Amino acid sequence: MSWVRKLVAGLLLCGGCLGWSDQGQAAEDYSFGVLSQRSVVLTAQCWNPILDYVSRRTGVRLSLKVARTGPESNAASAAGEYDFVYSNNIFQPSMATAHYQVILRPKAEAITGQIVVLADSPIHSLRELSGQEVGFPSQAAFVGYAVPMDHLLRQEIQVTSVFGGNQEGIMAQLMAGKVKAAAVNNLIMRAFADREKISYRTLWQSASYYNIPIAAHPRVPAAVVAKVQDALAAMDYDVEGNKILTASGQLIGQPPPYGYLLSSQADYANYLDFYRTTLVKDIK
Amino acid sequence: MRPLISRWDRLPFLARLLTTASLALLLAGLAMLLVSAREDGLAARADLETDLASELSIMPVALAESVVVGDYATLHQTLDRYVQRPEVLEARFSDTHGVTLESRDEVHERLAPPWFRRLQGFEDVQGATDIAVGGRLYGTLRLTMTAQIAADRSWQRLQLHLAILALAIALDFLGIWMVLKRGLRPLLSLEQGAEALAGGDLERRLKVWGSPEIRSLISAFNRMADSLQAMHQQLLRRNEEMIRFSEISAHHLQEPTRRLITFSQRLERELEKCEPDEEANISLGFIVKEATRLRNLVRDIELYLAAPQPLGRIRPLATGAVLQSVLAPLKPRLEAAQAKIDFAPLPSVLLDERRLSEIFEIILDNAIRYRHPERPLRVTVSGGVSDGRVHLRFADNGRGIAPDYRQRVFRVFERLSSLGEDDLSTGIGLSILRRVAESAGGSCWIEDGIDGGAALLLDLPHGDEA
Repeated sequence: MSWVRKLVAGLLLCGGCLGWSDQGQAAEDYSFGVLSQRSVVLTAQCWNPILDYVSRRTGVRLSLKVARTGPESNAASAAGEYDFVYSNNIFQPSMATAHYQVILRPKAEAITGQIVVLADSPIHSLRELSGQEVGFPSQAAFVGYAVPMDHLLRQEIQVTSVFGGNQEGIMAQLMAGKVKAAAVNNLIMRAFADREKISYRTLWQSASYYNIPIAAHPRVPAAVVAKVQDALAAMDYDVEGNKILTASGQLIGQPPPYGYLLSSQADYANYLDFYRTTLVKDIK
Repeated sequence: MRPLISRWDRLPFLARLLTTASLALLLAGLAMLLVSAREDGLAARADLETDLASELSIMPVALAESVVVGDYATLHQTLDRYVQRPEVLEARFSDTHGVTLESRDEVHERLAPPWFRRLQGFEDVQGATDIAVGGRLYGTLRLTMTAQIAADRSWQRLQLHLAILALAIALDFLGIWMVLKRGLRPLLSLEQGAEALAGGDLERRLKVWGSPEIRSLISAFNRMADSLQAMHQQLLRRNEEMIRFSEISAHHLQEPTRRLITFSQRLERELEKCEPDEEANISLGFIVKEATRLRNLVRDIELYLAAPQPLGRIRPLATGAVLQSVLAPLKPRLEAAQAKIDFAPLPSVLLDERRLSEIFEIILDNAIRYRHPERPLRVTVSGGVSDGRVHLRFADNGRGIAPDYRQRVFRVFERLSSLGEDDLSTGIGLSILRRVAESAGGSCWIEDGIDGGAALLLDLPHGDEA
């Protein structure tokens, strides 16, 4: 019976080690990087309640990491600094080395890139933008820069690029008349226009892309990833979670539905195709 | 306390008024300034607390981006710039991991002294607030707001107000001084008028001027002077009438007295031709003696009545020469008394010569009359000047006068000897002497003389005063 006793003791020891290890992982902080689309504070106001909810539900402590600009955010993502990331730039070839894997996608409708002008603008076609200043959030914005610029290049329309730092920044410049037209994320533009009470016209709109996914770095233990994935996917079914998601969505002017669905890299294959064929060479 | 009040009451009216007004203004001004500064302090503290609350509500928003991003270098720079604001002394941020960023304004030169800050309640205020974004606590911001600027401002204002207060006191002082100095100037003429009146110038009237109160006072003074002058003139008239009546009475009494003596002497000569009659001779002797005494009495009464009136021009007199002229007719009597009269050079006296001679005659007559029976008469005359007055001293070695009687002998008809001893004395001589001396603004009195004798002292106007 001694081998049986040894086996039981060994199993208990392994179990104990695993348990301790799991507890050690739960006590560890995981960084959660968010793509810089809006102001830092607005981003924090939107995401901190969500991350706090997930931390309380899973025991996995998530700390929000926000960069001031898109390029800074992308640089951190490319370096794999974030354990979790909310970004659609991870599909860029330059970031392939970070090997982020999509785990969730938003329930919200797919996004498109748009080139817009103010409703009273004399410009009515893309051709009229030739030689004009056109605003872009940053060189890191996928539907805000890469997609519309790719289209302009394919149409051989040369414009002078003006970067506003993020989506809100360039939309503010459009509203102030500092740029003739702006390339934007359709959802963010709609929310901005509702909030600021402005009217705009869409000169061009791209194909749809799933909105920004949440991805995990391969170094994050699968159990932790699973916990976070499950908590976020179930969040809109929970009263408190739904309330937090709704408040966050309303804060940034995002229309329902709120919440996340389980997802994978396959859902974002069109991003990878775009990056493989794009004419835009200065995407960051 | 009482001595202080007494000393205060002795101060000039102007000094008391100026002191009181200036002190009142100074105390009221100081109290007002200190209370005002205290209110400044309370208001400054309230403002600081309001500002602090405002800053504590604004600063977390301003710092949120750097805090969320974790850009502590920028955060520190922001705090460094923030504390350069005038009223911010210190800003300190402590995050949840114990990291602390602290910025403190450099200490500038302080104008308000610490005691002023403490007294007036200019105290720094502190407060803290959490910096939380989206429900997550990133750290705590602590701010210290300084009241130094408000204290300095209040201190400078206090100094300015003190200067204004000093100016106000100076103007108040100057104004009161000028008003009173000019306003009380008529009182000076009133004082001079009163002194003139007291000096006998009853004609003096004052010009009515100045403030209503002073004009009323001067008018009252003039009315008083009118009344005094009227009463004085009435008194003069009555006095003149009295003197005239007395002089006429004395004059009319002289004639029957002289006749009485004359006819008594004629009767005496007739009796010498008849059979000797002892009884008749004695009676006639009494009649002659009493008639002679009556004549002397009437003469002295005339002198007494005339004593205040100058009997000639009042002028500086060579006192020694006047004394010499008096001694000459008295020579037989002086020799009989084996008298020795000594006198040094005497100061000049301002008087008419006749009355001064009469004074000397009376003094020497008394010295001879009341000399000591057992020793030769000796009289020493000396004199001096002090404070514009001449003091003459006639000291003899006669019988002397007891201290109790030294005042009484100046009264009319007061005599120390009985009629039997000195049947020709009228008891008026010293009264005449005093009357003359007092009419000249002087006086006379008696002291101890030589070897138990008496000394008569005279106080008369100095001749050089003319």
